[in-house]
Amino acid sequence: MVTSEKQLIADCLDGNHTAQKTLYQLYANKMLGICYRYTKTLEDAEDVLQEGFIKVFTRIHQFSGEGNFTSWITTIMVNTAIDYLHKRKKYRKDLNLDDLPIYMVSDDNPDINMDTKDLVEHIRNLPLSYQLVFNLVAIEGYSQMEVADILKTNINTIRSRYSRARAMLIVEIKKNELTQLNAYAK
Amino acid sequence: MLMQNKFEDIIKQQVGEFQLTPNAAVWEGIEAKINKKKKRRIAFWLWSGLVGVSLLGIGYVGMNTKSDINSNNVKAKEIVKGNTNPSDSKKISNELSEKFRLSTQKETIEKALLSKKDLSVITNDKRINHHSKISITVKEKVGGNKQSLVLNKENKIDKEAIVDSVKKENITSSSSEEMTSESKTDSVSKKDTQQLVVLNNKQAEETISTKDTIKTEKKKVKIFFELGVGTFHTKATLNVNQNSTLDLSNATTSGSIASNNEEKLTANSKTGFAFNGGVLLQKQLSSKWQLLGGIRYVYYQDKQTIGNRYISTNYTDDGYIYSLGNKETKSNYTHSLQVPIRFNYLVGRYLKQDFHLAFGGNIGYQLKSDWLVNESNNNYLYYKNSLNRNLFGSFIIGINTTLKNDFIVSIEAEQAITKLQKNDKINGKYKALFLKVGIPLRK
Repeated sequence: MVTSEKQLIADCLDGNHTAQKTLYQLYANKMLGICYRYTKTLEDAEDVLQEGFIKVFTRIHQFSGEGNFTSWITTIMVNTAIDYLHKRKKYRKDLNLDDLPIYMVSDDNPDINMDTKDLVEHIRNLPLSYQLVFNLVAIEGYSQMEVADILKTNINTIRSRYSRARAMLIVEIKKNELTQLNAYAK
Repeated sequence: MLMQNKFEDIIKQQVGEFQLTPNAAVWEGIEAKINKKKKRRIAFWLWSGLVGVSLLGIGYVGMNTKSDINSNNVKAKEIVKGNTNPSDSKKISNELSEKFRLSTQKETIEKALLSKKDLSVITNDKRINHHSKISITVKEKVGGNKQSLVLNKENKIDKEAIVDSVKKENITSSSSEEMTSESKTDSVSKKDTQQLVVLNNKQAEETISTKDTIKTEKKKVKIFFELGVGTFHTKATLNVNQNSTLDLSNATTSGSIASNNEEKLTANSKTGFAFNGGVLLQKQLSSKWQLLGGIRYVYYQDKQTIGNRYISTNYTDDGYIYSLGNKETKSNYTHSLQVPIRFNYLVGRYLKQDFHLAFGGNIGYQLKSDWLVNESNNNYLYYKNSLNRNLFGSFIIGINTTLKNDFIVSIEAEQAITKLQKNDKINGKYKALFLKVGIPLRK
């Protein structure tokens, strides 16, 4: 960890308002990108970001100082997002969605020639239960067992949701490529 | 597996860099909530301290009272063991008077008196006369003459007076009722020198007030369970923007909004009810002053008539916009935990009762749910149901009297000094009137 970051955290621990704002400004964009991936609307993402940063500032004393601060703050955001989704009535049903029919894909590892924003939108367009599992496994790097533990769900359900989410995403990416080719041909 | 990771790696790398700029309002929200949490933390510690100090106070007083009683019992036993010689009458009288001075516990008195073979307690209890003095009736075992011992309000029998009367070789009373100066002078007879002294009220009072040689004693603390019911009224005013869009020109009916929409609106709630219950400790500071303190729970509820919900696209995030036509009644309620502090001053005696003027205050913490008129950022007026937790303060003035059985009856007027809400625009403080009864838990 860079010394200036250490100092910043130490100042936040003392309740220094300027340090808190600086820390927020340093991480807000990246963290909103993460919150956005887990939610369905930008407003929800901003709500999660707000709740997450409040937790960061009130629990900053729990940060050991030895590990990576970005990882610590990311973990808080991800956990806040999961809690947020479970607390919202409108999402609760989607989180327990029964498994959809599996997609068959011809190319299991396609190249991705897509704008990052579009790729994120495709992830967000997945059914919520798939979106959650895909984010945790593919992007945050949790094992499927860990995700089963986090979401308090059966490991087989997680495996199934992940493979379906992956397949659905590949189909969407392929569709996108096809649309682009068609547009190019015209 | 390796092939599968390729897809994940690309996604992770690409998506991991994804960023978005949040709205400025997000930081404002964070800032506001952090500050609120800080204030809450301060309030929590303040409240905890308050409760802690109260509990320590109750515990301290309780322990002191208990130790006084215990020490008196020990003294009484010492008297029983050590003083059997009739020639030590003066000493014995002093010791007994000391014991009486420290405690009026019947069993303690009985033990002490029974050591004197010629005296015994015959009354079942002590009496409190109209000057709040305690009389205890004893009788001679041989002869059966009755005597009254009169203690003053602070359980004191004057030592000098006892010595005097011992020198005079006994003054007795033929009556078990309160002594009067006339009856005392009529009832002088020769008795054993161990006989205890009878003082009439006036004599005891005069002697005590003129002799500064009397030892000071620890004042007794009385504990009361206090119950009260009363009325409660709130009048809230709201400073509004002149551009507020709600037309208040027809708002003349009672209840919700009166006045005009130029600068200030008044929301009058209907008079509601309140009740309280708690434990109070009463300490006699002097012959005229008492200090009371303790802890109590208070519940206030009233109703407020407000307009019906106005269905509009101008619905605000903060609450509902109400029209003023049809009305709807909403309840406001408050739960409050308070530490009351009172001073009682003896103002006089009317209708054979001592009356005290009470004044003091309450501090505490309260949870409130209020429907109050408010103004949104875009100048809409609306009623908002808000749940507030905040520190609370009020002052009181009242009058009370102690009945024969030590019950206290009081009337108290209470005026809040803290605002209804922590809102710059809303000004409102409640008033309450309580009728209360103090039930003695321990005398």
